[in-house]
Amino acid sequence: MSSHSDECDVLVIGAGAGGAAASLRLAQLGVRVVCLEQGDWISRDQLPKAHPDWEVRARRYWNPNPIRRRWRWDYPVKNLGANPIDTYFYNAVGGSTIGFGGIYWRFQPSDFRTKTLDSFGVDWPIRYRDLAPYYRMNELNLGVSGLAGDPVAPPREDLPLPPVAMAKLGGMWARAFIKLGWMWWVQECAISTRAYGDDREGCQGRGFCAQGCPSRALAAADVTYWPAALKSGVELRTRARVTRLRVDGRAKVSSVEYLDDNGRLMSIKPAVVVVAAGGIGTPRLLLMSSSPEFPEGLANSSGLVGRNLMAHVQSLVTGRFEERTEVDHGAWGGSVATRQFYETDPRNDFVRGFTIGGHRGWSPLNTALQVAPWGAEHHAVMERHLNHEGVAYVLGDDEPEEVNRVELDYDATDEFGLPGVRTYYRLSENSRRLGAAGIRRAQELCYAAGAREVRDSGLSPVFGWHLMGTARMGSDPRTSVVSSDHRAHDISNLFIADASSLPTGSSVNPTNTIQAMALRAAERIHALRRDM
Amino acid sequence: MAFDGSAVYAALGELDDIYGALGPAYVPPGEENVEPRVLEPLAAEALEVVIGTLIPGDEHWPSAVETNAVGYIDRTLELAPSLEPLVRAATGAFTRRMPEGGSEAFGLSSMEPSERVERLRAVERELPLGFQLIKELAYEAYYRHPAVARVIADRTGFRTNVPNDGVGLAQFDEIFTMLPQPEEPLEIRGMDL
Repeated sequence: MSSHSDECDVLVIGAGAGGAAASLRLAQLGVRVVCLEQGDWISRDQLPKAHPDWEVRARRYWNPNPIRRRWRWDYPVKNLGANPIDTYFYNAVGGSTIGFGGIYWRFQPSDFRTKTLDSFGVDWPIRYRDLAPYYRMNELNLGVSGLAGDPVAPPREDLPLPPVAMAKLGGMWARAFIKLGWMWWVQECAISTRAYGDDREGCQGRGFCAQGCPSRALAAADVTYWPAALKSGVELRTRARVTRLRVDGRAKVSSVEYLDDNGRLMSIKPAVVVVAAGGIGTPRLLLMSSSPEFPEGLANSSGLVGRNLMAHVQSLVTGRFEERTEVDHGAWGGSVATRQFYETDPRNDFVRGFTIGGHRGWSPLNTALQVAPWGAEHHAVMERHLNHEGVAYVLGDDEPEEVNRVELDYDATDEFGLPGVRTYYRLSENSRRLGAAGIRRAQELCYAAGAREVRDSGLSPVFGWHLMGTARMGSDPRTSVVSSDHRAHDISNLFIADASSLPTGSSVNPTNTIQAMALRAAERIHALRRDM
Repeated sequence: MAFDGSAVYAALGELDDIYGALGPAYVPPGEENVEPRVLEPLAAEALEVVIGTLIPGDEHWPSAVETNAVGYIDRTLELAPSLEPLVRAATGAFTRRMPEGGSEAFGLSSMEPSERVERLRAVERELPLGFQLIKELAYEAYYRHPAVARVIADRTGFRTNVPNDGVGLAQFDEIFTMLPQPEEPLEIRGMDL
């Protein structure tokens, strides 16, 4: 069966945001690291924005939904439930960072104590101050841009790079915030605004960041962490599909099996395993690794592997303006945002809150598909909308619920017969009310900025950009999967370093937190190495 | 009589199956079929009329017919053959609405514009998936065409080359003068917990 077997100190599974950060940090600490990634490297030529027809490419082979993209190494994902998620993730070196927008807030201190403060979700077993040094480390590693001094955030050091350019829409949003009396600040972005590191230019304003950044200003993990990790000695094996983690009689992972690109079964014996396959991929792998000792899946004595799937409460509210908004350039995630409504307000009929980001407008094909009717009115409507819009992005806190979950799907398998997944999701009542309030505020913002018309994307289907919580961290093994050391309660040499370990999701984009957690996990692994 | 496309939809399943078939079916610019290779002549002719109705030309903008959207769709169907029944059903429904005794070519070219719109609306109602597929593919072919890019820039100010070429390094400055200064320190919840 097995044609090759080798060993390493630490095996990292997944080369995305968390896996990349953990791999580098471990290597810097002198650990021998092998990383298995089921996808492959993305070449510059594959990036849609390297080509004039980038919008069509983005809908085809770059489609963020694996069901619609169907790369050879994707697995089927079926999205079910009252409010299905439109799953958004990439199996590639860099993971989903190859197609993200690079918005990089830190979580707020209250996000780590939502149960105590607001009877919402669960408390984390760690606090903001435990993660702060790792946020800093991550921001320096990537060249995060922004401005210290945000009055709604804890005091912090200056960011490595100055903020992204305002451009015209940024100024419009900022004036609207001022008019409304809302606290606001410049966005923190994983976008280099000057040359940073090797081979990374400053942002050239191409915009529409999720469709690729030919100048490497966008800090995707494949152009930031991975070059450094490889230089530090990490061995990265691509097109390597992990099939199961095997455990021995001492409840430790003894070996990891994977299929190479030709479907040959390989095996590796690590001393420690870090699973970083994302909010969908990590529970999938743990559930695939069931055994007589762990019939419900590896590390799943709590029954929570795959459960508490969170996706954030999100909507895109688009305002149309009479003036041109110059949307053809600038970071799509925009330059300014408000966290005026971030915290629980007792006057609301919901708890927790949301961020509203002032983003750019839409590109030509996307504008047409959204608003331009077929027929005689098509061109007139396009001329009124294209380059006359801006988007207010609502991102709200999503309550973890066990009913929202990831399950294996043996009826839909990948090319090697490995199971796909089914996701089940419904918005909670709190999420519906929070989301409705977020949309109302975003509409208010658009009109304050001068919009004549406003439309929104509603709350469902749910944007599956941030998939979290499915192997969460906690102090109690009955209600969590990993400990405050990122270590599985059940398996002493198994760690998780990705979005699945977040107990709550906050009201900001999670990637900075995912990577900070991964960096911390790496240091905890190193500190605990003599115990394993 | 309305066209019954239920068998076609049942065969294809849900929307994700349609988009999933499209995912690997990317057609690079210049590789659209010059002559249809999948669509039969009548279907191709009907499709051309449909496309010209979806996005007609005017004094500023070209018609979608001028962007070889038919060739784009035909090539897409070559790469994603499971979608051909949807397109065939939709074009078939469009032509079958011809009155009895139509000309050999079903009189497509002599159809009044208002009649084309009426028929296409009926197809949109009765075969929504097939209609949506054709519409989206037509929009894709249209908005990636260089002639349309020139009109976009001229009529809307959106420079379609900028996502590829950028605008150069921009600096952040004015925002510093606009940032809010709270009169009193704000409470940051959770710091002491």
